[in-house]
Amino acid sequence: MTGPREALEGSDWLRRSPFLRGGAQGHKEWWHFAAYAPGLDVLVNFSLVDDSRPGAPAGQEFARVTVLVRDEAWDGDVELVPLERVEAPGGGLSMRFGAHRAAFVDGAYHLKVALARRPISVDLVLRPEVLPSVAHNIPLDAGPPIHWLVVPRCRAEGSVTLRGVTHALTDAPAYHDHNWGHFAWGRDFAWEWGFGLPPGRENPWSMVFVRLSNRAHTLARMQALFLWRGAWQHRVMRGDEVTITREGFLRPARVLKVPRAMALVSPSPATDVPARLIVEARGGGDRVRCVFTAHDLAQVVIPNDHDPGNTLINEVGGAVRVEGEVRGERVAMEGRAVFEFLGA
Amino acid sequence: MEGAAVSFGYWVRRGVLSLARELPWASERMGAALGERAVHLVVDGELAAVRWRDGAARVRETPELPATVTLRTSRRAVVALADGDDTLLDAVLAGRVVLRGATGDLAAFHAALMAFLQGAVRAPSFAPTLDEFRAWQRARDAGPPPEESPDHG
Repeated sequence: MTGPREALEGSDWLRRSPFLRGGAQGHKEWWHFAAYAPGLDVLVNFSLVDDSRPGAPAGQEFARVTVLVRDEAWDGDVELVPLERVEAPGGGLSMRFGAHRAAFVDGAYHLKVALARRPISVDLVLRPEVLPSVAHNIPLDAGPPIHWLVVPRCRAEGSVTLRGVTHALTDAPAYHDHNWGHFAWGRDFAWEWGFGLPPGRENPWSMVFVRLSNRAHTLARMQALFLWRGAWQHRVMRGDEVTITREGFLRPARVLKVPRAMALVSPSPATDVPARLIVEARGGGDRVRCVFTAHDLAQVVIPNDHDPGNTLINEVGGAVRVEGEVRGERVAMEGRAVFEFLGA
Repeated sequence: MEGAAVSFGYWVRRGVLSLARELPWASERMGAALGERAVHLVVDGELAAVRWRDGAARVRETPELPATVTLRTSRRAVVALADGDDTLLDAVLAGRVVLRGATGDLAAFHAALMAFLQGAVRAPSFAPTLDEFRAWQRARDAGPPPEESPDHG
């Protein structure tokens, strides 16, 4: 039977931009990882993005490593790595950005990152415990579709060092996704995306929520709640089966923004992130209610590709509670979660 | 790396020239916001006088005209702002950045500064330039203290 290792070796390979080979410009691709331990959240993202400025030479890309770590407060940064120090072959399962590494080897993701300008290093091995969900040709706006792969449940081992304090992660819940496709920041789209994991192995449930909409959040283009039970995707409820309610707003006094220089062009701590997001799904006699309570956030601030504005990716740490009944079985899970809210 | 001997005006000139080359639209927006105004940037006593003329930014280390807007700060404050360790609002309220000018001119300067920064965060050369600026700032900090700031305002 195919397990997570074989499934990921056959699906999580790097697509890479077709621009250098005569294809369309504007390709974006990233491997995203998250893990949490008592008192600690960590996010790591390796991205490769076409330089979409008019007249940019074919093959010109930006390779970036983003790291966000939270203990009592968020810290982190984005590092741009010169292309001559980047190895990320298409079809492969590894990225080497200068001294930073991400690779799928022997059935696990190996991450090694040490930021140059912040006292943060990450040395983790994430071993997937579930089969991935792969979704192709998801319309984001009027442009070409995007594609993703999600592995909501891994176990992480290793260490994260933040401001001189080393946190050991042992059998810690972790998450991975991979996104790729052609789109431009600033176009008429937004997403809300989140995962929820229980702290221990004994609870079999894992959850992913996604909603793609227009930038004003007034028109949903796609929405779904995915449940895994053990290693297998167990139930997907989508479209009209899913109802989303936002309650209140998260109002942080200060917000860490990365890349850190972006705080100059996006200084406000005001956000449209809800204090609580309630996702209710019903269909075929099944029902699931998921409540995400936001605690705090950091922002990845991205310059729009074709206008002077910015896109804000709010990485929101919080708690998730999932309950309901699926195929006659009770669903119950509580844990930490990171939800991502895209805003302008 | 640029040596500690270069002036603050060198960095301003390098920035506006890079912006014009890499993101012409941002440079043009900056110029449109500045209009005929003369901006004096005074950093640890070193002057960079900026004007927009004939479709391009001119940066001098001696003033051509009296300042319409003066911004006075320190290299350390500039690095803290670029590294997200300080905000422009907090820096102004605390006196780490001092702005002088008529209200309308200050608003125009802010618009020009935002146009410059929106270009800078998109231009490929600015990340390594900022690394070099940090190194320059550290080298200057390690050297003899700067002279007392002359008032170009």
